Amino acid sequence: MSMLEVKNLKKRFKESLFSPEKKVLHQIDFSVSKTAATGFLGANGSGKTTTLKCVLGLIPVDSGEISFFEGKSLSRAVLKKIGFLPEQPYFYDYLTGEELLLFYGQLSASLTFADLKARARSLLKKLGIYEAKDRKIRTYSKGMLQKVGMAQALIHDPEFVILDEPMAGLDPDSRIYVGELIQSLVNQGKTIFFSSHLLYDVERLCSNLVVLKEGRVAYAGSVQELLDRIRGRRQIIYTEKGQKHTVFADSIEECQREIDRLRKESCVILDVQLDKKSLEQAFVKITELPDLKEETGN
Amino acid sequence: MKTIFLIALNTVKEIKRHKILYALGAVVIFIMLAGLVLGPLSLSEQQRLSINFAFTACHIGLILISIYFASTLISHEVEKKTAITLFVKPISRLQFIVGKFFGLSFILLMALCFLTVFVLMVHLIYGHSISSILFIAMWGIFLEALILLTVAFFFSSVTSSFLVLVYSFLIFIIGHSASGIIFFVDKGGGDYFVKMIVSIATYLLPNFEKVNWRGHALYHDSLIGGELLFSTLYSVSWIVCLLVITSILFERKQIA
Repeated sequence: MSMLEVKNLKKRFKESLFSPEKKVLHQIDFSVSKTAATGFLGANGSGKTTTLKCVLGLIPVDSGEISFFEGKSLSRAVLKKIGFLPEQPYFYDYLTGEELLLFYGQLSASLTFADLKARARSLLKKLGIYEAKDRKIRTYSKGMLQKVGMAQALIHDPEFVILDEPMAGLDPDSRIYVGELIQSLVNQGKTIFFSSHLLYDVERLCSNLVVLKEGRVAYAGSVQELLDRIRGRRQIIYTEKGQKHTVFADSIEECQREIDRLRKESCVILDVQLDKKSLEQAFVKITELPDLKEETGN
Repeated sequence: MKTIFLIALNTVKEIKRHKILYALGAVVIFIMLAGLVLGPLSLSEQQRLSINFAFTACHIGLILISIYFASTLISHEVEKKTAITLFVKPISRLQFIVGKFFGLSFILLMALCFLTVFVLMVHLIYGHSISSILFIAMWGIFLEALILLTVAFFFSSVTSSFLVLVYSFLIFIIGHSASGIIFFVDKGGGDYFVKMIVSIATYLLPNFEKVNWRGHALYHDSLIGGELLFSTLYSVSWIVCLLVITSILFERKQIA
């Protein structure tokens, strides 16, 4: 089941009245499937936040189709099932943490006030900011703001959670904790779509990935498939006349040919290893290439 | 309705914390006291001068509260990016605008009640009889403040908070001088083109003299019930039209 489907999304911006229009999103196509965490990657200015704002109806699109939950367009009923954490969240700083959650909760949840209060407190406890619930938001640190932002995105128990840089500004402990929270949400059957610059977190938490490059989708598919593609290179370690050597093969066929050749030359094969690469290296590689989308068939 | 109520309540909380609200209240009371002090300096007009000062202080106070807060409430939501988190919740932009309107209207109503008490006190000090026209005059000030509130909301949907402030004050000035301009254009026998522009402008912009009954209260002039009803309907029409236009414009606004 598709939770979000974006087809042929295009967006142009004008910096001022007389400046020429700048294409920010050229043609964005991707989908987010149910009960999985999907990472949204891209360099600064690649169009991630603009895409998310278009998806959520915060800015109008020039053209394209956006649908949620198998073909439904954005409506109040759909928004009730979506939680969103913006990049650098800004809140009403005169409210306390608890008041803020109750305000957003009353706007979107259909819980009674008592249940909502219990849920708000439970979320604040989970995120480790319960002690600060009666403090005004203006006294919160950046990390605390990020956490209360996470709490407001989850207050109405949404099915689909969109997070824009959820780990930004968090200390290592909180990062691990938010990561665990995302994982537990996926385990509860929620769908998470989150943008991040922290590729390690995306690799750890996401099964699917959408990579943007200069307003275009450079890759959309599974993380594993991408890593397998990048990890295609094999490393053959052998000895010749008592000396250790290494040779690389880009494909399995080439690897077999190399092994046959080395045997003919009376070399001793010591080991054949998959040249392991992280998502970070994969990301660098796909954003260097013109477009991997067609190559991967996604 | 629940959404509108929540937004209105949040708006009240937001305005309540602003020190400028209390500073404006203090200025208004200062002007009223100045009226009491300066009243005896005028010959045989002490009573009228002091009461006029009280009405003027209420008028200025309510208009300043209306324009200042209306010009910042919506623009700041966009400029400070709090609107991003709000508009991904199931609320429409019309509900947002109407909620903000009711929140600020409530503050204006509270300010009106508070200031009316002071106006009554000035009346009592001078033994000026209290009649219904006094309350009608205060109602007129309230209606004017509400129209200006929606004017500022309208500008907020298209420009920045500073320009909203400037444009709203211009509308306030034009709204009070329109009747005078028409009078002088008619008397002066100006050309048809000028008369046409002035009359179009008076229809396109709100005429605040229609709700100005402070003179009536000062001189105990009676007001025809029909005039009160017509002026109230005139004000409500302006308020509704501007709220609808604002929400349509705000619907197209990029929340980025």
